[in-house]
Amino acid sequence: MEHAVLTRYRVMAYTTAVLLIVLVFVGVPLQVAGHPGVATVVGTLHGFLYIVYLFVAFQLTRTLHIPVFRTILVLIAGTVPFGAIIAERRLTSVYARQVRRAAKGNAGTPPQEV
Amino acid sequence: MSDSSPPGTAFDRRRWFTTRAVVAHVALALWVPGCILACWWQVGIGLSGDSLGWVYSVMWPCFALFGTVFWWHFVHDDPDTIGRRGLRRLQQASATGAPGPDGDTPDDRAIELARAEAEDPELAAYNAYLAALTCEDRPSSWRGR
Repeated sequence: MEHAVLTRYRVMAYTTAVLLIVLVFVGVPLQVAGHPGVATVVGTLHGFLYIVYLFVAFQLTRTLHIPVFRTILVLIAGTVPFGAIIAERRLTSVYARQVRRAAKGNAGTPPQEV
Repeated sequence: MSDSSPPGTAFDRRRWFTTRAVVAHVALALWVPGCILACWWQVGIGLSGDSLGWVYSVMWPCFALFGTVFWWHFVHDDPDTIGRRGLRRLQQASATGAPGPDGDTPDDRAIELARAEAEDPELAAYNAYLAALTCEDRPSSWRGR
């Protein structure tokens, strides 16, 4: 069940990150050059998917007990090119660490972020 | 957050007036009107003919709503058990046997955890999930799947 939270987040992180990279590095230059089509479509898509990203990311940060300030960084990462990819790497390693720590024997303790 | 009332039965009013909570209240009080203003600004852009303005005028209320959800969690979080600092406090408390930040002992913590698990099926399910992982022969990271 909880693994699904991570998977959902990873899917959304990569989706929003790729869309934002396309928007910033393809759509915006084309728009400046006078072809706003790509920027409009990708911008709209990224806009709505970012909301989904917010909810999915928030759910994961609650599950992993991420402190508030870093939760905010994770949420903002969806609006920075490459940001969501970096956040995804960090959160995935936090998740893997928590699972590993649990595997070392203290499976009964609550999950803690380090 | 310490709770003088019987566990899980009463509403702890004090959590709304900690420094942390007041910061959250102020942030929310700035965030929601900010989102409404931004929404209004995007409606103007939409009316002027840019269809992207309509998209963002839908998104800003969503951001306001999300800020409210975040504020709620921020107020109800227990800062003494979350993050690196919280972990260190818990470790110190259990290593020395000294009372924790709330003046409770490691035994209290264990009782607290059991109570939290009883109240929160999701937490119990998560801990059970972690426990189940230890029994499975699985790569130590998710990537192996």
